Amino acid sequence: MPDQPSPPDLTRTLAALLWAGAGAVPLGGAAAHLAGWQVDGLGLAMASLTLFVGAVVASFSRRYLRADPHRGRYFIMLGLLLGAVLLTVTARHLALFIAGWVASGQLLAGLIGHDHGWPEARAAARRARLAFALGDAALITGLALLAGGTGTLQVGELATANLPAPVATLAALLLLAGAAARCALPPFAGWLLSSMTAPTPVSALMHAGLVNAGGFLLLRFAPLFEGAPLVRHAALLLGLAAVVQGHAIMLVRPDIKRALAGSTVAQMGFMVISCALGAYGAALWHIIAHGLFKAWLFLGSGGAVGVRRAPLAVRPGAALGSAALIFAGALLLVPGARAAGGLIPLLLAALTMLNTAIACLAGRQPLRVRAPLLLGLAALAAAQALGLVLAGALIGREAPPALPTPALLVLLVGFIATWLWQARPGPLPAALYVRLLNAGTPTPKGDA
Amino acid sequence: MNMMAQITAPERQLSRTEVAGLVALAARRVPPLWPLASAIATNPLAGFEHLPFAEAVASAARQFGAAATLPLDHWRNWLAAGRVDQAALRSAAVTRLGGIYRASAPVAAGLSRLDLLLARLLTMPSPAAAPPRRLADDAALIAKWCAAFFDRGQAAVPMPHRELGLYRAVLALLPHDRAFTALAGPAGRRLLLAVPRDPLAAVAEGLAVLDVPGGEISEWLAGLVARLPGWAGHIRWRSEHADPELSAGAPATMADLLALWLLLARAGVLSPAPAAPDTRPMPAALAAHCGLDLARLGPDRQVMVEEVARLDDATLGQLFMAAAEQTYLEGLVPQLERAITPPQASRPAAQLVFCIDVRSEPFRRALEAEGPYETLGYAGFFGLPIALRRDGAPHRERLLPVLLAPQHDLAEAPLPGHEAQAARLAAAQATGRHAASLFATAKQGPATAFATAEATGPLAAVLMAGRTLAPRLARRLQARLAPPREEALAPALHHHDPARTPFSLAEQVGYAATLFRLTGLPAQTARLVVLTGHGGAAVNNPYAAALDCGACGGHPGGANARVLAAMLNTPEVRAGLAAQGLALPAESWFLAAEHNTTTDAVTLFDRDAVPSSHLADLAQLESALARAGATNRARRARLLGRTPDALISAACDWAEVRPEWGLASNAAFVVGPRWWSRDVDLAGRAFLHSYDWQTDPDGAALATILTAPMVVAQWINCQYLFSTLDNQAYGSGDKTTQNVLGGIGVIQGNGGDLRIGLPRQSLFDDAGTPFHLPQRLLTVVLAPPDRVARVVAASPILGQLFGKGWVRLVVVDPATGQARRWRDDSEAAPEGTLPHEIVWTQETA
Repeated sequence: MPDQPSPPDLTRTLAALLWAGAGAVPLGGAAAHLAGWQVDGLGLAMASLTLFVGAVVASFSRRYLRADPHRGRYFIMLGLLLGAVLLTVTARHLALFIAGWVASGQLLAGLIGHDHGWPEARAAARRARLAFALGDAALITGLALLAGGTGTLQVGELATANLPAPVATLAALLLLAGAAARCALPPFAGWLLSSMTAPTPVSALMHAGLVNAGGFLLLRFAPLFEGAPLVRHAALLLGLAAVVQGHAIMLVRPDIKRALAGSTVAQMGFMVISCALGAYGAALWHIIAHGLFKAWLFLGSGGAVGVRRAPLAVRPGAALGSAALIFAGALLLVPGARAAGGLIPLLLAALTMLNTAIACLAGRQPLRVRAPLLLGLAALAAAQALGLVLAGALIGREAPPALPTPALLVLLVGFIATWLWQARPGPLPAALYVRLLNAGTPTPKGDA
Repeated sequence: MNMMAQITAPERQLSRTEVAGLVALAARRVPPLWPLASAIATNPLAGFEHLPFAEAVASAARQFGAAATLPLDHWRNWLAAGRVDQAALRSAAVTRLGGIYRASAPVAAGLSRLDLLLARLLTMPSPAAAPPRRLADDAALIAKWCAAFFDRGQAAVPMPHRELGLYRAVLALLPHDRAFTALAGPAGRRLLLAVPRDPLAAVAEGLAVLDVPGGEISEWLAGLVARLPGWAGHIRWRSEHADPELSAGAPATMADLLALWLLLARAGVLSPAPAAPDTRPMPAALAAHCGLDLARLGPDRQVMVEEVARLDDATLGQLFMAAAEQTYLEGLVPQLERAITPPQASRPAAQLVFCIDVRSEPFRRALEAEGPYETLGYAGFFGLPIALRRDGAPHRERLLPVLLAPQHDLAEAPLPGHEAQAARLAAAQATGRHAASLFATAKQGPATAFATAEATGPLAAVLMAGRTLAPRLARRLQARLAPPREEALAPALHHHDPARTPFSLAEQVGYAATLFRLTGLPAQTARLVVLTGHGGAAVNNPYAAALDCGACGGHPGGANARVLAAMLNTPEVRAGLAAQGLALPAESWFLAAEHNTTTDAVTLFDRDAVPSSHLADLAQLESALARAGATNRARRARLLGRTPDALISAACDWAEVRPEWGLASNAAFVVGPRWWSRDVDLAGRAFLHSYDWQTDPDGAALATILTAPMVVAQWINCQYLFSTLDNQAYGSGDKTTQNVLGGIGVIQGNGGDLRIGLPRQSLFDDAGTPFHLPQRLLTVVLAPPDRVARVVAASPILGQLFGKGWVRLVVVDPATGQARRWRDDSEAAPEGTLPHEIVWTQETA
């Protein structure tokens, strides 16, 4: 075998290009910014994330899919898919934007059904195609409304167009539907939850890249949504529903990949809530960091054999204490803040760090065990803070608050109360458990 | 069927004891399935071993909806490549047709029966492998609940009511299950209230209501067991092989599973059993393929065509397999026949005892070429039926063959002089556990999950890039987080509490003596004797443990080697051995080692304890081991189509799906002294068990070898054989779409049965061609034939394995060098022998 001249390995070239792009694009963007050029921060961040995850996935796949009978087709579709996503996030012209958007959905569906010979894979691919077709139809209609109302085909101008309120609201609603299909928010979560027929690296790319397209859409058209408060409220409710459904599915799934998928639904819900609240920087940072986090978990999911449930470090005292502290902070900060909506993600992040730090400090372990953990936690918190600042700078936009202060506080209390309720000992009520188990087991449709 | 009649209980039904007996019988239709963390190879057709091999393959294919042969194209390619001999195939075909006279009978001018059969074997189109099927709704429902119930590590919120047992817990939840309502309707829901709560009573009542005839009950129940072989096998593992603490709080027996099936049967929603399609050609098609017009042949000739056309795929595949086995046998046995003269005895510089595993053989050959080193083969648990609780682990590991139960519980203790290292290791492990617990807690809280993902994201990016671009560096950095375990801790032979000392002195002497008795290792041992266990190296790989030592319960074998080496260096044990006539030289030192079968590196344990007088010998040995490792790595790299260096990366790359070929291509089990097989290149396809017939006059050691290690080898052989034959039914399918379930095993994609067997990547090469040629184990023994015959006659299991053709046995007579093959029950006895005689037929001409 080694004696034969091998054909040029295009997959290696693809991976090398992606790695080069993942290094060059953020550096180039920073340099351009320093040189005083106008940089599209959102597009830059999304392109960098896509290139980095794409590079990891391409390199990973070169080894992982070595024995795949349709390796060539896989890499062609992977390359095209990454290209389509890059086109979507950087397009200025509406036609390119739509072309990238629609193509990325169909290519992703194709990769979900990569194993053609497997009826279940074909059914999952069909399901994704259907969800995307509905979402894409809504999105295109909404964009057509905008284009018709403004007479422009430039994405940036469409987003900031000054349209009559009913038209803007309808367009925003249609765009929200398009985003919900891509983000796998209810009622579209089924395609994501039945997509485990895709090879593992496709799942990684899907959860780190493709589902984010919905969030990207909300951020790209943020001015439009700001002009349609009703749609912002709808997005908030949709996000909340996704958080509840996805999180609950994640809790009961016995298989790792669908537990991760449930978690993605919840995370997307949270990101949409952040968008709706006007916390754009937090939403962008969530898109980036969650994408990296989820790709890592998917690619490493083969190591879950033999893993036992880790004993939980729930300390009711710590939880109640940090919850009280955070709520007190919220009472102090939220009423007077200029962009109060953006504080909710920040307060939840602070709650997470505080509670984890207390649980770590309160452990019975000797100091030599806890000290490295506290240091690590501090490093993670710093990275998190840095990321939020950076993402905020990349977006460079603040939104008017979507909710009055009391409503924001109620929202915060809702999160905290659910959290405290879940931490209580004891199993779930039977009826609720079965519902959640079935919600994560979409009934297969299509050919048997 | 009248639904109401099925809800009311009938008058006459079986007692619980009777049902328990029938359930136990039905459970034997599938073998136990070990969790992948301690993967054990089993024969998926274990429930059919009472049948002749060919019949078993056909029956199992019907039962499991599986293929009965590899697609013939694979066999044809092997034929073209010379791995299956043309003459052997022809001879098998002739035998199948009833002898040369019948085979050569002309069907038409220039065309015999044999030509017709060869046309079917070699040129007629044959069906390709069937695509994976979707589980029927009833099976999917039960699989869903089994997954929820048996989950051991994934779901943050476990299934409610598990303490009631599988059947009762599911009964309690089914009223809320819309999938059940959709399947069984309102009548099904009423049934939920009416059925008995006790699983055995439910089975008894179900059988009576459904009116299953008494004589058919056990077969009918076995058919239900076989519908989800993965979950049924998991239940068998829990009931028969797991420590009780592993199933505490969630009891489940086969009666639970069958009670669920009977519930669906009573609701009238049992799907029809899978049917294997008939792929046989029409007689006219066969005739046309051979250029004949069937209608124009005479009636007797038509019957001849029909006879060949009616042969099924199982038969055709069987002919190829028999030919492949014969080809292999004829290549191997004559070499062994010629090698029966023992060489001049000389004392080696070191003796190394390896596991019988097929991967030891090429390494041993490479090492023997490096100097005066003698190697031996012994079951890799070194005869020690132990369980070890590792420091910081919640449960004990069973480090012994699954045929045995642990007799001794060991714990790890710090090595003398390494207490500080042990403390650092313990602290690092505690940090890891604490971090995992904090992470899990934060990740699953509804208010904290989001910030957890955000805060961990940048770290994940660094880890992903590192593991992808520089896996070796990432591995080295990871290793620096804690001191190496084997340098800090060792399994302790003693316990500070004398009542909990794992071994008495007499037991230690016994285990030490068994090494000599079974392998024929002479008491005049070399200055260094190395007991070498083995383990694989793979990361992010659900099947990592399948590369470890099967004799150690799917774990690496280093711990067992260390324990036996420590015993053999104990003066009291040496004295005990001397009292049994095994006076070892005082200068002999026993060392433990572990062969990494993925990288071919050998780790030596407890080097600090080696006397300074032996350090020069040790240094020489270590350099020989390194050279042998390089030789074997180069050999294996060719088989994998990679560079030797790439094998070292593969061992730590998280994207690797085939770090090594494992036991693929295994074919033979060779029992005899090493000098006998030393000059024969066994190509990594043979299990090698050392045995000296001269020190075993009563055949007791041989009986042990054939009934324990050989049976394990047969399980492995059958697992590889059937996983290759139908990778969907008997194997676990493609690795890239597997989904780890509950920490115990894998499912494919979104759901389905817990998967059994081996993944596609372990058996097929990158181009999709089987790397493993499916053939039955060939056992070759160097011993007097009458002694082997006595051993086989005394053992029902051996009578079955050899008699029903699950393993083929060849005995080489040490006196004459003549090989004889055991005749299986289906073969005609040669003329002049009585049917009840144990008959040997001479094989190679």
